[in-house]
Amino acid sequence: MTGRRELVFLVFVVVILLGGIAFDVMSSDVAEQTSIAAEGERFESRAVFCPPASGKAKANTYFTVASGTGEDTVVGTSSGVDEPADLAADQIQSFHSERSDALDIVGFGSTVVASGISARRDPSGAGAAQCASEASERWYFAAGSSSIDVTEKILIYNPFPDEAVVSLGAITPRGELSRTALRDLAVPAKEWRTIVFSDVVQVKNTIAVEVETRRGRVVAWRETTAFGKRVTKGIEFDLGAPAPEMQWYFPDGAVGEGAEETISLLNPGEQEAVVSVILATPEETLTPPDLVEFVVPPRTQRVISVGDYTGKKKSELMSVSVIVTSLNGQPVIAERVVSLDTEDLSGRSSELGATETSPAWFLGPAARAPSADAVVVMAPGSEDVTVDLTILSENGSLLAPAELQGLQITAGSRIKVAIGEWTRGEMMGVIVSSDQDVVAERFSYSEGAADISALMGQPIKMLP
Amino acid sequence: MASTAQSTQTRPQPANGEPSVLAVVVTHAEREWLTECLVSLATQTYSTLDVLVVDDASGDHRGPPSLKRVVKRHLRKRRWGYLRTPRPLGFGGAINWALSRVRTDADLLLFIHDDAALTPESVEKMVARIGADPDTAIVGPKIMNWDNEHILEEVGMAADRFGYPYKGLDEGEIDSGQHDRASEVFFVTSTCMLVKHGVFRQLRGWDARMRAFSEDLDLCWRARIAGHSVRFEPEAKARHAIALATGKRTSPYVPTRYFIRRNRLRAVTKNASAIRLLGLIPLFVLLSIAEMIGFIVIRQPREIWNLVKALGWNAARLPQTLAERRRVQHKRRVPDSTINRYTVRLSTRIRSYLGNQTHRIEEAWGRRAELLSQRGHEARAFGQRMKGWPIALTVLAVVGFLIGFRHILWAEQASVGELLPFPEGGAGMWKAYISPWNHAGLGGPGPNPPAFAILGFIPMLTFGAASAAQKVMILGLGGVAAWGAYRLVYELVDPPARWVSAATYGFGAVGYAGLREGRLGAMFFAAAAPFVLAAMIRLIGWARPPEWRRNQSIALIALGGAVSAAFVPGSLLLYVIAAVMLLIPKLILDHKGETFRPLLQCFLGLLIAWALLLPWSTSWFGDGGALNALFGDDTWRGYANTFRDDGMASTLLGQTPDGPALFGLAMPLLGIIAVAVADGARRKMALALWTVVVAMGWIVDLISAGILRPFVPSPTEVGVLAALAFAGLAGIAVGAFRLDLSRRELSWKHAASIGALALSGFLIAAGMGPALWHGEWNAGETAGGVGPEVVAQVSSLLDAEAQQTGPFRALWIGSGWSSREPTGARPGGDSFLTGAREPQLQDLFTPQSDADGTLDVVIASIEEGATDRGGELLGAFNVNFVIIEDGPRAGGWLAQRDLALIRTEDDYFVLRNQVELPRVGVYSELPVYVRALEEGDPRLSAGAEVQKTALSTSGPNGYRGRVAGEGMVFLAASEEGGWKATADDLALDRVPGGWGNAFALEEGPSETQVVEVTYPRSIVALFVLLITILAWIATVGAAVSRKRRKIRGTIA
Repeated sequence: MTGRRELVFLVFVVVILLGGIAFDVMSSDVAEQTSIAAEGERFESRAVFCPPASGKAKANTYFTVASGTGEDTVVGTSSGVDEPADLAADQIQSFHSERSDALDIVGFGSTVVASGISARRDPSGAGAAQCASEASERWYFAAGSSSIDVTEKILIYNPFPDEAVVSLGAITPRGELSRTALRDLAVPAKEWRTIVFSDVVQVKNTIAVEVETRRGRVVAWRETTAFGKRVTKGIEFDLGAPAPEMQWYFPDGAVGEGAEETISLLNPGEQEAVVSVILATPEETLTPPDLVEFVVPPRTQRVISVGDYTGKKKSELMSVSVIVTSLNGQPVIAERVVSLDTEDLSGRSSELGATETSPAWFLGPAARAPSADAVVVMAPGSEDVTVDLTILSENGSLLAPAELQGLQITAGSRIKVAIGEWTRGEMMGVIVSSDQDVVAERFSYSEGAADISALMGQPIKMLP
Repeated sequence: MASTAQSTQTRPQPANGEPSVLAVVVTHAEREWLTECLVSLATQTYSTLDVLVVDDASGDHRGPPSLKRVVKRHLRKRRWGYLRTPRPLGFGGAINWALSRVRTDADLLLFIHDDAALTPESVEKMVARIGADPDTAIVGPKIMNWDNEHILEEVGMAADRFGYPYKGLDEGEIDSGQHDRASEVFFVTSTCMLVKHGVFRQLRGWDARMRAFSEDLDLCWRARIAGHSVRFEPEAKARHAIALATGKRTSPYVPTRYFIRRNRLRAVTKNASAIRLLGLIPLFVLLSIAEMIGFIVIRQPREIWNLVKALGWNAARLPQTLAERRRVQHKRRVPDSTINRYTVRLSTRIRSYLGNQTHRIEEAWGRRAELLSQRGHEARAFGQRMKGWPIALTVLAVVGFLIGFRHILWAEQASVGELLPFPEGGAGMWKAYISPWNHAGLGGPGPNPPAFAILGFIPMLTFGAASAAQKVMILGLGGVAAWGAYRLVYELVDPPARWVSAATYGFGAVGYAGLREGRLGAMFFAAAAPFVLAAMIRLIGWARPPEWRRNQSIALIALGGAVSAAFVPGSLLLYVIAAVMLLIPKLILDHKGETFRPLLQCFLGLLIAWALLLPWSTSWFGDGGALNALFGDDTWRGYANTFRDDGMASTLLGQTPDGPALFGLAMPLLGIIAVAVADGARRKMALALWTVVVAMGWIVDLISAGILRPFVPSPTEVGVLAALAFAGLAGIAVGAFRLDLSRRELSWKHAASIGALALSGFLIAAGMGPALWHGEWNAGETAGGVGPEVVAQVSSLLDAEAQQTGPFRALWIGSGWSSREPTGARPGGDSFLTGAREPQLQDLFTPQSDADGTLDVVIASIEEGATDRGGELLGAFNVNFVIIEDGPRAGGWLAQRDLALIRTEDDYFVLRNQVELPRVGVYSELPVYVRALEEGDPRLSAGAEVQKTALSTSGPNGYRGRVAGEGMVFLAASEEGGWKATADDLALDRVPGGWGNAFALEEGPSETQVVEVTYPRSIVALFVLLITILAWIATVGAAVSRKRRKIRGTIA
C-alpha cells in the first residue's frame, strides 16, 4: 500500500517537474527593466572656454556670447569678471578682458555659444576664434608656419582643477618633427600657457601642430602673427580641432589677384587618407581631377593652393568654397588660410572648417570695429535653401531687415551677404536660420588693424 | 481532596500570662525529616504551644502509616491539628489556606519547615525575644546544618537592593559563638520564624502567589515597611536539612532558580520605594543581560530561559503586583533609607555573587572537563577510524580546499556586491545597529537591520583584524553550512553519507555562486537554512532524534529564520513554502497523528523569526523596504531580470545557483539514486526533498516569466533550498547505497546503482577538479570590476583623508565596485554612495530618501553633459570624492571643472571635489548650490559663495562646534525632520533648507556659541531594542540548550 502511494507520489512529482520544464521552455522571460531615467530637470550649467590674448598689454580680448539653445539663460564667468546676467534668447552679451586671461563663460540653465576677438596694435592685426565647448586630450592645427616672418604661438588653457601635462608635435609634408622642448609641458590648474612654437621648430613654410595631453585635458588655440616683408601682414587666430573628421566645409575663401587661399590637410592617423576636395565658385562646382582622390600619407601634412584649380585668370578675385571629404574612412583635419593684399583689403585669416551642417548658426563678431562685415552661407545639400539673417545687438535690439530675409541659395552653392550696413562697425552677432542644413561663416575687415578675419559659425538649436 | 482537621488535646490556660503560640508545620511529600521536626516541637519547654500540621497535598499522605497517624503519634502531648490542602499551594499559600480554616487565639505564630528541628528551648527563647521589644514582630533562630549541628546555615539574612539574599557566612562556617549577638536583621527565613499573629494578619499573611522561595524575604520586608523589627535570636537553634533547595526531595517548584528569581523580582517590585524602583528596573534589566551572557559563557543556556520566564511571569502579573504594591506602600511607616541599614552594599553582594558563580563555573568546567575527556576519547576513536582511505580523502579535501579557495585565503578584503570590507573591530557594526540613524548613502532614520549586529560579532573572532574577519566569515559560513547539511540527514544515514551531504553542500553551488557574485545574504541564508530545514523535518515528523524537543525545534526555526531574514527577508517566504512542501508528502506517504499542527509550529517559528527582527522587520513593505518589490512599481523588474537565465531546468541541473556544470549534473543523478535505492524512511525523505527542489524550480520559473514578483533578489537565494535539498539527496543516495542496497536480493538494480553512483562520483570530480584548480571560489569572479587590490588602494586614500577632514561621502560610479545587479542589501543601480570613507559593511541596506532622486538628477546632469560644474552640486551632498571606472561614462565626469583628477589608473579614476561642503556647517546664508538644488534651478548656483564653518563630529549621531555670530546651520545629511540643533543648549528654529536640514542661528549673548546638531534616540526605540536583544538571547538559549540529565549521565 505504502509502496503504491510512493509510486503515485513519485509520478506526481515527476509530472510537476516536467511541467516546470515545459513552462520553462515555453514561457517568455519577463520584460527587461528599462533603465530608469532620473526624474527632474537637469542641472544645466556649462561653460565655454574662451581664449586668452597672448600679447600681454598689447592685446585685448573681447568675448561675445549668445544662447546656444535659443532659450533665455543666465550667463556668467567663472572668474567673476562680471556678475551673472540674464541673457535673452535674442540677445548677445559681450565681455572685455583687460587681463588677457582665458575665460570660462558659463551658461546657467542652458548652453551658450561664444567667440573671442584678439586685437593687437603692434604689429597691428586682429583675429577671431571660437570659444571651445569642451576640453580635449588632443588638438590639431592643420596649417601654420615657422618661417622667419611668422611667429606662431600655441595658447593652451587648462580649465580643470588639476595640472595638465601636454606635448606638442610638428607635422610637415615630409613627416613628423620631434622637439624635446615641446615635450611634457605642465599647464597649471585653471591657468593658461603660451608656447612660441616658431622659436622651437626650425624654419618651415608650412607646418601642422598636434597637441597631445599626457595628463588632463586642455583647450588649444593658435595665434599666428605675420609681420615680415615677404608675407602678407596680419594675425591668424583660431581654435584647434579636437579630432579628425570625415568632412570639412569652408563656405568662404578667396582666390585671384592679391588673394591666396590654401587648404592644409593633416592626416594624424596611422593610415593614409584619400580625400576629395570640391571647389565651389559663384558660377560652378569644380572637382579637379588631381583633387578627386588626393592622398594624404599617414602622419603628414599636405597643402593645396586653391587658386591652382579654379581654372580662372589669376587677376580675377573671386570667392571659392571648399568641401573636403575623406573617401577611405581615414579622418583628417582641414584648415583654410586666406591672405589678401588688394587695394581694399589686406590681412590674413585662417580657420578650421565646419564639420557639420545645421539649419541654425550663431556667428559672433569677427572684428571689433569692422569696416566690412559679411556673412557667407553655403548650401552643401541637394536642395535649394531659403535663409534668414537676424542681427543681434548687445543692447538687446533685434534687427531682421527685409533685405536679409528669404535669401535664396541654389543647392551646392553659396552666397555672401554684406551686413555692414546694419552692424555699422559694432560688435554684433548674427543668427542664420534656414529651412535646410547649411554652413555659415563670418568675414570681417578691420580698417584700423588693417587685417581681415574670419569666424566659422557655431551650430545652435533654435526654438520652433 | 477535602481538608481534614483534628484536635485531641485541650491546651491548659497560660498560668503566667505567657503568650500562646501556634506552630504551623507545612509538609509536602517525603517524611524523612518530619518525625524529628514533630518531636522537636513536642518536646519544647514552652508550654502554651499548639501545633498545626498542614499537608500541602502530599501524594504519599496515605502512608503507611498515614501522615495523620504520624502526626498524632508524635504530638500526643500537645494540642495539635492536621489539615490537608486540596492541591499544592506552596509554603505560604498552604499556611494562608490553613489559617483561614482554623480559629486560633494564638498570640504568636511559629512557622517551621518539616525538614527543620528545634532545640527544646528555642520557642521559649524566641518568645522571650519577641516579648522583650514591642516593635519586634518577627524572630528567627540560628539555623544549623542538619547533619552537623556545628556548622552554621543562617544567622539572620540580609539582602541587596535587588533582593539577592546574603547570609554573611562562609561555606561550612563552624559555630563558635561568633554570631551570638541578638540583632536586627533584614529578614529571617521561613525555615523557622516566630511572628506576632496580629502583625501577620495586618500584613495579609504570606504572598501565596510566590508558592516557594523568597516568600520569607517578602514577608519580613513588608513587616519592616510597616514599622516592625525583625530579629535574630542566637539562643534559639534549629537544624535544617534544606531538602527542597538542595534537591533532596522532589519538588513541584523546579527549576529552583526560576522561582527564586521571579519571586525576588516580585518582592522588589512590591516593596521598594517608588524612587528606588525607577533606578532599579533598568539596572535589573542590564544585570539580567549580563547574567544571560554569563550563562552562555558557562554553557548553561537553560538558566537564560529561567531568567526570561521569570521576567515574563512578572510582566504578565504586573497589574496584580502593582495592586499589591499599593497596599504595601499604603502601610509604609518607615522610609527605604532606614530599611537600607539592614541591606548589604552592592560591592559585598557582587563579591558574594562572584564567589557563588565561580563555584558554579568550576562545577560547569568540571563537567566540561569530563565532556572534553569524552570528546578526546571520541576524537581518538575517530582517528583510529580515519586510518587508511578516509585519511587520504581528508587530506585530498583539505588540499583541494586550499587550492580552490586560495584567492580568498591570500587576498585583500573583497569588495563586491554585499561583500564589503569590515570596519576595524565589531563596534562599528554594533553602533550602526543601535544607532537611530543609518549613515549609509544619504542616510535615513532607523531602525537598522539586525544583520549589522550579527556581522559585528565576526571581527571579535579575529581581534579586530578586518581582513581576517572577512575570511573567517566566508569560511565559517561554509563550515556552518556543511555542518548543518551533516545534521540534516543525521538520523537517516550513516556517517560517511552524512559527510557526503556536508561536502556537497559546503563546496556546492551556493558558496560558489554566492562568493563569486558577492552575495553575502545568500551565504548567510545558506548557512542558516540547513538548521531551519532540519528543524522543520523533525517537527513534521520525518525524522526525530531520541531526545528531540519540540520547543527546541521551534526555537531553531526562529533563530535560523531570523539570521536568514536579517540578510534576505524573502527567505522567510521560502521557508514557508519549504514547510508546506515537506508536509504534503508526509500527509500522503506517512500520515500518522498530527496533520497541520506541525505546520503551524513551523509558522510559529518563522513568526518568531520575524519578531526577532523587530523593529526593522516592520519596514519591509514600506517604501524602499526589502520586500517593497512585491507591491511597488517597476523596480521588481530589476530583480526579475536576474532570473532570466534560470528556471526549472537550471534548478534541476544544479545550475540555480550557478555551480560547476558537471558537478551540477551529478546532483539530480544522486537524487534519482536516492529515490530508487533507498527504502522506508529514507525513500520518503528523498521524495520530500524532491518536492522542495521542484517547488524551488517553479518559483524560479514563475519569477522569470514575470508571473510571480520576486521576493528574493536573485536565483542564488532561491537556489539555497534547492541546493540544500540536493545535498540531502546526495547523502541519502550514499546512505541508501551503503545501508539498503546490501539488504536487497541481487538484481539489475545493484549494477545500475553502482554505475550511477560511479558516474556521479566522476561528474563531481570532473566538475570540482577544474574549478578547484582554477581557484574559482573567488569573490567577485563573475561580477567583473576592478578587483580588491584597487579597492584597497582607494580605501587607504579615502581613509587617510577621512582621518584629516572628518567623515565624508564617496560616490562610486560603475558596476565594478558593487554589483549593478540588485542584491539582498540594496536595489540595483549604476552608482553607489558610501556613508563615509570607502564602501564598508555599514553601507549595506542603504535607505532611500527623496534626496536620492535629486542626487540621481545631479549624476544624470553630469553624465549627459548638461553641467560641467558637478562638483558644487555633489558638494551639497557632502560628496568629496568620486571614483569611476574608465569607460563611456567617464567622459562626463572628467569634463567637470571642479572635480580634480587625483589618480589615474588603467581602469579607474579618482576625482576630488573642489567644492567641499561639510556634512554639518554654519553658513552666513544657505549655500548657493544647496539653494539651486532646493529650487531645482541651476541658475541660482551662479551666486556668490557664502562663508562657512564646519562642525566636527561629536558621537555617532552628533556634530558640535563653536561658532561666532549668526548664520544658518545646514546639515547635508538628509531632509529627515528628526534632527535637532541647539546653540548654547537653546533649540534653534528650523528653516527651509531644501533636501537638507537647516536651522536659523541667531547671535547669542556671548561672542561665540556652542552649536550642536544631533539626532536624538527615542526611549521607546531603545526599549524595543533591549527587548529584542533579550528575545535573541532567549531564543539562542532555547535553540542550543541541552537536557542537563544527558550531560550528567555522560559524566557518570
